[in-house]
Amino acid sequence: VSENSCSSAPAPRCSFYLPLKAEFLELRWTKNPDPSRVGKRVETVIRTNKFDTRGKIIPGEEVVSKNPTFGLDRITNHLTKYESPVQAAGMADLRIECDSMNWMPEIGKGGGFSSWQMQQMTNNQETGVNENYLVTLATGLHFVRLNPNVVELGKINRVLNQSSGETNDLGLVASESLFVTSLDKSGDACTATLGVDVKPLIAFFEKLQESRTKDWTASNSDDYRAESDELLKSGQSTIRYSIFQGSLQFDSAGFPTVFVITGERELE
Amino acid sequence: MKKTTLIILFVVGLIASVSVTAAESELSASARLRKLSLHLRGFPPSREEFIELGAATVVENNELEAYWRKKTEEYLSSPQHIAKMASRLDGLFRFRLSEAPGERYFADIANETLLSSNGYTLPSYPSDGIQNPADSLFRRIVAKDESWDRLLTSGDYLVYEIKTLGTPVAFSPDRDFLEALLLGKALVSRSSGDRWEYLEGVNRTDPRLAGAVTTKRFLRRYVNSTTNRSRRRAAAVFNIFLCDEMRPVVIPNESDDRKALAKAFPADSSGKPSEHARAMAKLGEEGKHGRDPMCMSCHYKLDPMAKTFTLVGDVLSEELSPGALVYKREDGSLVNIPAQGIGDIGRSIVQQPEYARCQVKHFWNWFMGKDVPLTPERREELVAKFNEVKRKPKAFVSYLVNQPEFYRPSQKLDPQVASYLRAEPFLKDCSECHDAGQGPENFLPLPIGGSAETHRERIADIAKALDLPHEGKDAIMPPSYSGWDKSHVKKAIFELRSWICTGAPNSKGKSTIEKSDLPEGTCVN
Repeated sequence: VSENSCSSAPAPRCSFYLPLKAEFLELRWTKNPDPSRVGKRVETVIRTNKFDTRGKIIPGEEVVSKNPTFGLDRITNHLTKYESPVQAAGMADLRIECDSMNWMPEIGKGGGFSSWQMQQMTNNQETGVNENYLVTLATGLHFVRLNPNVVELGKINRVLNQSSGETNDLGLVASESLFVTSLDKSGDACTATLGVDVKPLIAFFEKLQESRTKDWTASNSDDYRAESDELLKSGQSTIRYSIFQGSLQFDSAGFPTVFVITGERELE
Repeated sequence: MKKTTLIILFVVGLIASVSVTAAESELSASARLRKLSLHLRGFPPSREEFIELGAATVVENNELEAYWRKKTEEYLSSPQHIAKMASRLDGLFRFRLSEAPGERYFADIANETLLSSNGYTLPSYPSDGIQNPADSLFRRIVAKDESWDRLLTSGDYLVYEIKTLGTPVAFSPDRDFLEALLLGKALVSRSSGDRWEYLEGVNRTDPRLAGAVTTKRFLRRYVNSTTNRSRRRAAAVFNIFLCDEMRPVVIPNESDDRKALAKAFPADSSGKPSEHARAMAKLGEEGKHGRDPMCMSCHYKLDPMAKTFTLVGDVLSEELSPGALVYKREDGSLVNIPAQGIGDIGRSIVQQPEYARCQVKHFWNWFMGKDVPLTPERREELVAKFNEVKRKPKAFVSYLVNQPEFYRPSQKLDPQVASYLRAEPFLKDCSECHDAGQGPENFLPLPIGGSAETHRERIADIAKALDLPHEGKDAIMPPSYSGWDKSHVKKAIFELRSWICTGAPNSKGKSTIEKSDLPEGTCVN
């Protein structure tokens, strides 16, 4: 905590406890006319247009997970409950633990933050210059004090889904520089800057991403001997995979269109 | 074809004869028409208009006056005038130019193409610049001849929406920005068209709304960061509405320099992020910056206003953030008006005499030219007229373009007065810091220090500090960290030397010093 106009107390060191749930889909053949494919990743060919003779082979789940209905490729954080309460059911809320809470005496005692902003480098559309810019993530945040040095987020009046880039999934802890505003009892606004070390979290996400592609090598398809075309020949093929049972459908040009669940979720 | 050529030659002949008979300093009728058209619409008159002018100049003089009134009214009512004024306001607010393609340059665009049913917007153009409440407000004020104050006090906003089968599916970012006020019923939707929605403030004195200042465009232009803490926005308000231009000052500090270097070239390549983050947080020494007298020369007025922006992020908050309008008048008296929000600040600013003077200066610069000196006496006359026409832009512009300075631009000012007017802005700039404990006192009004004796001493000090005997070669003022760029320093030295060497005349042109009061060699060369 630095540049704190809310209190003259020494700057404390705080930790954020950020609940996250990552759900990734991976499709592997469990049944295939070509026995050598069983256990391997399902492949899909993407062509930029139907006249292309070459296509890029991508993992099949990338097509499926793009379907927003399923949202199989997703990270749920403590802010998700404001948009998708079902998805975030049972998820804990953001917790802040500090050496001392004197830096923001009113927090958790009926007071909270009027606004919670993050700083990010953005191109200024009026000047064309890249500048640090405070982006509002939420307004009207109320915290509950769990013990003298720990508070937990209880309520937010308004969440603005504006974070982007590599810290998109970190909820309110979306930047290494956060800016909070609070109103004291007399209605005067005070502010504080929170310098956050988000590098371990970003490294974690990078590792997670790496693990998903560990046995995948990007390649191009010259002759359409990719599996999506095999699926296309049969019009609609059923595939089985680790979490869901369903089918991929393709249009007449070979473009994947929809993913239809034909079975129940397997608790594998 | 031949017939047309002959007519043109005839008209040119007529105009030439008029210009010969008119006062030497007065523009010829054709030049005046051209100037009027360029200033009001942004492009020259058509050939037909010159022919019309030719016909007007052969009639009685009072008919010619009627002709100028008619042309002024015609141009002021044109959509191109709205676009021209909107582009001037874009410049004043330092926005990206947002006029529709071609609207400024072509006279033959049909009015209905430019004006929507509500008469002041351009929804037919897809330019994102135009589809925003700031630009709509600019155009509305000009088109409907509303009070200029509404730039800072309006609580009404036009937002754009995209509809699919009649149902809104997307809004301009400002709708999101104003959402909190819609939910809280501080704003209501009064009307809507195919691609726009008009939101009207329920309470005309809502402390959260301040015209063009509380639009996404202004707030994105003057972005907020953890270090500037809305001061940049406050500085823009001071600059646009009170003509108080402030410059960022960076006080040199060896410790800061070392930290900056360490940050740029970290010694430990493995890096320990938490320490790095802490170093970043301390860099800048906010507390010291807030106490330094040179910084405080601006921060005493910036910070109270910046507080009213504290909760104005990229969305408006439901809550208020109080602050104050604080600044020193030229006579040294302090203005300190508490405000519940930036809306209150706006309403307070438009009550100040400095506001009216500042806006008159903008109009003067636009229509007469920045290089045409405006004496304090003339400025006060124009301020009185500005107030008399209820600060309505059309009425005021109509008055201005019929003033002698517009059509008789070559008229000469007393050189002594002109010298004072050129030096005055630099004396004001110097006072910004010197008045805050960095030096003797305010350099304005004259005499400096209040007496003829202190005045003579201070002028001699200025000559020494600027090293005028050597044309500023070893000048110790302004300091390198003053925020003045080199060209500004060079111009300041040139203008202050010219002023001092003509006897440091006051606003009435009367000399206030003798050359013998100055260091030797000050006015040689």
